[in-house]
Amino acid sequence: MNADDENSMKCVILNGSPKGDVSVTMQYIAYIRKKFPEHTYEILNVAHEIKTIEKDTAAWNRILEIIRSADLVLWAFPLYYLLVCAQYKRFIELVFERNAQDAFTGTYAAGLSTSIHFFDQTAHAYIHAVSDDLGMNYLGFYSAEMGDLLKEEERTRLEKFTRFLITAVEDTIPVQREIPPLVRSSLVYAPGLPGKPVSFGTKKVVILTDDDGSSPSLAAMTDRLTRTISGSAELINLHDVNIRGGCLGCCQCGYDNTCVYTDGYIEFFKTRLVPADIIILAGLVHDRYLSSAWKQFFDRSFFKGHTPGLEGKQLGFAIAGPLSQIACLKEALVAWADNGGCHAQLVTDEVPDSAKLDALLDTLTLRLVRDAEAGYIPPRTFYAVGSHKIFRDSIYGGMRMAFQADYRYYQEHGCSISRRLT
Amino acid sequence: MFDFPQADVKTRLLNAILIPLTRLPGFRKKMFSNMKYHMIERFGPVLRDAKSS
Repeated sequence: MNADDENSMKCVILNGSPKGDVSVTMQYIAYIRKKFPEHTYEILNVAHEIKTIEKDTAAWNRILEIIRSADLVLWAFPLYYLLVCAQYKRFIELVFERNAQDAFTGTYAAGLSTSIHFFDQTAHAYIHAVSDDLGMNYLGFYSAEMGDLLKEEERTRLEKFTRFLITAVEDTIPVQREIPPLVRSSLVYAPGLPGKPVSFGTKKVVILTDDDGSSPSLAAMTDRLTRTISGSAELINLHDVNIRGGCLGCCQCGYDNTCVYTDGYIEFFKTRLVPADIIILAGLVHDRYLSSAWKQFFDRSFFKGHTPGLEGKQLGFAIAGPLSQIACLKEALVAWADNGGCHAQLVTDEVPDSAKLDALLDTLTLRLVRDAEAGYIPPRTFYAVGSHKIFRDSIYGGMRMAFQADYRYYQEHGCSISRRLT
Repeated sequence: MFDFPQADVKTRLLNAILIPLTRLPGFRKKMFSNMKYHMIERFGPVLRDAKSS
C-alpha cells in the first residue's frame, strides 16, 4: 500500500470522459468514493485535458508521478464509438510514444465504463490489452449501463465489484497476463510493378489515410491502391482535414444533427465521403487500435447520432500492422461497417512477401468495384441487428429527448431494415 | 432487462410533455446547451444519500 494509512489504498482514476468531472462515468466514481471513504482517490481528467498534456511536459510528469504512487489504476471511461474516446486514445498513445510504460508496470488495473452496452466488450478488450502491454495486473472490468446507478440492485453489484478490487489489491493476488504481446511483421512493403489498372467507371472512390510518414508500409499500400485505380480516386489524408478536436460528448447534435464544432469535419463528411461509392480506409496499428486521428474521425461522425451516415458503401480497409492479433480492432471495424449498412473487406500487411501484398491489394480494388457495380451489400449480422434493437429501444425511451433526430429518422426509416432482411 | 420500452410509463410521460416543449427555441436552447449537466443531475439524490458501506 502506498497511501499513508496502512489500511488505505490509493486509487488513481484515469477519467476517459471529454466532459471531465461533469460526466456520467464520474458519478459512478463519486458513488464508490462515498461508499468506501477509507481509501484515497485521485482523479486525472486525462481525456478532458489532453491538449495540455500533449504540450505541457510538467503536466505530463505530474500525471506520471501520481500514477506511480497508485495501488490501483482505474480506467474509467464512457463508450465512444465502440471504444474509448479519441482523447483517451491519444493519452494511451502518448504513454507508449514517450516510453512511460514503467509508470504503470506492476500496478493493479481495472476498467469501469458507462454506456448503453453498445460494443462495451470491444472497449474493455482494448483496455485489457493495453493494461497487459503496460505490464499491469489487470483485475477485470465493470460495464455499467448509464442509468444503473439509479437502481439499488446495480449499486449493490458495483459495491461488490469495488470490494473485490480492494481485496485483490490488499491481498496482492497474483494475476496472469491473458493477452500475448503483439508480434509485428518484419516485412517492409516494397510494391512491384503496377498490375493492370482497375477501371472504376463512374464509381466515385475515396482513399482515406492517416499516413504521417511513420510507416513506409502504409505509404506504400496507399500508393499501390492509388495506382491500381484507373480513373479518379481522391486521396485524402486525415491530417489535412480541418478537424479541431474530438467529440465532446455534449449531445447537442442530438436535436438536429448539428455539431457544436464549426470546423471542416461536417462539410468534409457530407461533400467528400457521402457522395463516394467506395471508401478505402488506410491506417496503421497504434497500440491495440488504429491511431487517435482515426478514432477522432469515427467519434466525430457521431453528429449523425445513432443513424447510418455512409449506408450502402463498399468499404476497403488497408491496415499496416498486426490486425490478426487484435480481435477487438477487427471486430470494431467490421461491426462499424455492418452497423452502417456497408460492405467491408480487409487487407493487412501480415504477409510473407511484397508480391503477396501486391496481389491482395489489387484483388481488393477489383472486388470493391465489382461489388459496387453489382450493388452488393451483405445481409446484416448480429452486430447490426442486435445494435439496432438496442438503439431502437433506447431512442424510443430514455434517450428520445436528447436524440430527437434519431427518433425522427427511425420513424421515417422504420421499415427499411426489415425490407433489407427479407 | 426483458421489459418492452413501452412499459416505462414514467419515461413516456416525460417524453410526451418535454419533447413538444423543445419546439420552443428558448426552451430548446436552454435544454440542449446544458445537456451534459442534465445527464448527471438525476444521480444527485443517489449520491447525496449514499453512506459508507
